[in-house]
This record gives sequence, structure tokens and C-alpha cells, in this order.
Amino acid sequence: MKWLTQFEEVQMSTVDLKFVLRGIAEALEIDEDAVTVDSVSGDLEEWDSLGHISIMSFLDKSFGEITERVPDFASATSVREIISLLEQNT
Amino acid sequence: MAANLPRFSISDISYEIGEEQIEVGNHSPEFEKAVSKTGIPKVFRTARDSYELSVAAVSQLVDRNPNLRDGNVALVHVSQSNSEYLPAYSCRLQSDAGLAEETLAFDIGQGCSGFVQGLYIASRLLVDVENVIVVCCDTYRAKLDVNDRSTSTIFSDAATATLISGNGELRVASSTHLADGSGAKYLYHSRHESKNGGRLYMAGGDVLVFTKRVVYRQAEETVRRSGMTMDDVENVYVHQASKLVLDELERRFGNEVNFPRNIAEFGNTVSSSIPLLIRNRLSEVNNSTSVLCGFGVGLSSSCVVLSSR
Repeated sequence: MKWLTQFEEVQMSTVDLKFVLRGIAEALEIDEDAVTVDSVSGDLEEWDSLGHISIMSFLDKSFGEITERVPDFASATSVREIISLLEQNT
Repeated sequence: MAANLPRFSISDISYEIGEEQIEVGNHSPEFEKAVSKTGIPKVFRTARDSYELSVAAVSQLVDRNPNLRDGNVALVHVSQSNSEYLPAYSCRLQSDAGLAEETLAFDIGQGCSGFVQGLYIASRLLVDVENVIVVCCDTYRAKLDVNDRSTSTIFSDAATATLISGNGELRVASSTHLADGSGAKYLYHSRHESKNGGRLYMAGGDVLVFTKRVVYRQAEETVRRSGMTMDDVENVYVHQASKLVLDELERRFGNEVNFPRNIAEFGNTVSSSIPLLIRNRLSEVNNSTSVLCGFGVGLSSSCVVLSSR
């Protein structure tokens, strides 16, 4: 399963990947299966500027206002970037 | 110097809103989803030029306050929606609104922080004139791509005319103004097709980060410079950007302060959002201590503490 493979690739990190993927999907109001570590904003219609604000809102609620401390979240365009930033800053 | 400035009141606010009401959710399911995040179920579009919208707002104000035709007036027009480069809209407004020739008229090219800047400048102009009219007008809907969920779901066309009179108890107790031109790329509109097809562009995430990083801290600093504390602040009037932004700021300002919003009523009307917010609260504004914050395109942010103390 592609999703599981991807999960295993990054499960060594301290970030709960499944939690992040679910949070991004909920922020974008799309099915959980639609979001994987390979997802990029250009692939998901809902991940536009407004959708990105919702993702940032999820990240702030879950990781203590992290987007204020790490402005690079604002320009992240992929799940991998978000995961990477979380790994570096949590 | 500030101690010698005359006290004033915000004595009247007139407005003209876009004549076409658009139900955001009717556009598509994606737009319908946006409503819960923006808090904006309807937006307003005008087919009129921004100048015509401004004339309508100012004319209402002058009709209600005919003494303005006698002179001793400054007229400040705040907009980033001018379709003509010259002359200044404020000069044309002097004539079309029937104001006296002896009018200090000039334009300010600002957006969401423009009203607060205009108010700040007005408080200084009252040394020389009895009344200042701050006209705000933006017609962003003509600039945006109607299918762009980030902008099309929030912006409304509107004009407001705010009368600031040199008879009252208010003073600008302090102010702070920030400009961060490095963020110009996050919210812009260009005539050039090479820049987002000549359409309005907004990187919502980056603008949100700026807002989160700056606005509340700026308000705290502005209050500190006034010699007061946040406990002295009774009202906070902020630019009505979107529900997400308002929720964030309201949480930071806390429950002890009056934090009105009208985002659901008019949408994001850019420079007019604070005048529309306070138009029915003038007694409240004129007899208390309030923080006003305008922020956004520039990127820029202006904050004043108004106090009747």
C-alpha cells in the first residue's frame, strides 16, 4: 500500500505522521486517503491559499503557534515540507 | 507636540456598498466550504467605478452635514482602486461633493491599514481645519479572478466617508505604523499580465503569519506608548479580514475587551472595514479608550489608541 510505504519511510521521525496527515485532510475538508506524504498543493484543488490557512490553523492548534515561530510554514507547498519543518522545530 | 493637538470626535460615517449581493456558497461546493473559515456568507460587488462609489459616500455625508460646504475642511481619499492616475480623486471629490474650494485635498494609496493612517493624519490636520473627511474606497472585486477561492470568497466593494470634527473628547493617545515591503509579493495587484495574469493575488498563509507576528504585539506596544495598559482598553476595532484572523486576534486580546465584528455582514471591505465596523458605535468610540488596528497589503500595519480620557 503506497500510503503505508510512505508512512514507514518517515516513521522514524518524532512527528506523528498519521496525526499530521489526518489534520491536513480535515483542514482541507477532504477524505483522509486523499492526503499522503507525497501530496503537494498543486495536486489538491482544496489546497489553495485559503486551504493553506486552514492547515496553518491546524498546525498552530496542535503544535503551539508553531507557524508564528516558523514563518516558513506559510510558503510550504507539500506535505513533505510540512513534515520536515515539524521535525526541525518540534 | 501631541499634547497641543485639538481633541476631536468621529461624528458621522456614511457608506456605499456594492449594489450586487453575491452568495458565496452558490458559486461551488469549494466556495461553500470556505464560508465556515472566512465567516463571510455574502460579498458585494459594484459595477461602478471606485470614484463613483466614493462620490456616493461623500455626498451622503455632506448632505447630512451641510456645514461642510462652508469650508475649513480637509478631504483625504484612501484607496488602492483608482482607475485613473490623475488628478487625485480627493480633488475631484471636492467639486462633486460640493465642498468649498478652500479644501486641503490629497490621496493616500493604502489598503487595509489606510483608514487608521487617515485617522491618524486627520488628528494632526485638525490643528488647521475644523473638519476632516476621510474617504475610504476599494473595489477589489474588479481586480480578482472570480474563481480564485482565496480572494473571491472574502472581498467586497465599498466606500465610506468618515467625518472627524475638531469638537469632542478624543485624542490619539499613541500610534505605531509598520511597513514591511519585503512582503509586497504576498498581496498585490498589477496591470501587467506577467504578474498573476493581471489579477489580484494573495498568499493567505504569508499574510496570516504577518498578522499573527505583528498585530497583537503592535497593539500592546502602542498601548504601552500611550502610558496606559491593556486593562485600560475598553474596545478593540480591527480590520475585518476574515473569521480565522478575527478569531486569532480576539483570542489574544482576551475576553475582557469589547471586540466587535461585522465580517458576516459586509465581508472584507479593505480600507472601509473599520469605518463600517464603528459606524453604529460612534458614541462608544467617542467616549472610551479604544485600540484600532488596520493591517494587510504592503505589507503594512497601523495602530492607534484613541482615548477620551
